[in-house]
Amino acid sequence: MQVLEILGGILTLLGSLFLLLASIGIVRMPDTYNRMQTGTKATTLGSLLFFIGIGLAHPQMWGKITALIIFILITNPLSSHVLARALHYTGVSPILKKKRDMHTESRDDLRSDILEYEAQQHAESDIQSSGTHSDPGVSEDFIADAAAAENRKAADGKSGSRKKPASTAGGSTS
Amino acid sequence: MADILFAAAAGIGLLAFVISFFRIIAGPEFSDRIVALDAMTIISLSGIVFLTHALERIIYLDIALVYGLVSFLGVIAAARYMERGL
Repeated sequence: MQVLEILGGILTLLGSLFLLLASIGIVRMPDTYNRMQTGTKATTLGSLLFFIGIGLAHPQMWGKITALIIFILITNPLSSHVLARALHYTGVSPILKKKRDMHTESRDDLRSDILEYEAQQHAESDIQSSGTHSDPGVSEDFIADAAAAENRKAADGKSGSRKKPASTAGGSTS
Repeated sequence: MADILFAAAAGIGLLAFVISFFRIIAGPEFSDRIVALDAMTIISLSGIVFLTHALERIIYLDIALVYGLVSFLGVIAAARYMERGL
């Protein structure tokens, strides 16, 4: 009995360490996609270890804790997937736009890409604050924005064509 | 021995809650705040399960289950709002 309690305490401590790592990753990661990745997987593992540790210390709670574990295992990746899909369709671009070969290129290229992304973010915020579009250095960004707008328009057309039969069906019934 | 381990786990979980609250304050985009809110609800779910252990009341596990369901529906609603409006 005592051994089970100590084992449950160790598992609970391990789970809370995973929760702490997840929150540090949410603060430290440079991009929304990275933040979502570290904030979902690490919290799933950490909360599962936490629940299993509490369940080992109290064996009479084991049924409801199993239901809670199954619920977390189903809903947490599902909500992360829905959030990533919404981010992708609203045109949020990840921090590395090109596909890179990580085995041949060094870490300095990655660092320069991150610095370039942050400079671009600062430039976009300056444009939004000042309202002038006369900077010649951001023409590529305008091309990328046009491509993103086209993609969004295509997605809207698809959803509209998908929504149209429902509206006609509603009109016929009314 | 086991009580010290459980107390340390609760303290580290509270620290994680506070650290991830920083992203809700300082997040530059709406999506960053939603991601941090999702992590914060999972951490507070673990806190409710710890209260079940500390206060010896099994009924709190039902509250944790309903709280997880509400947080899941909240994230789904926020993602749908970001994608095409309410």
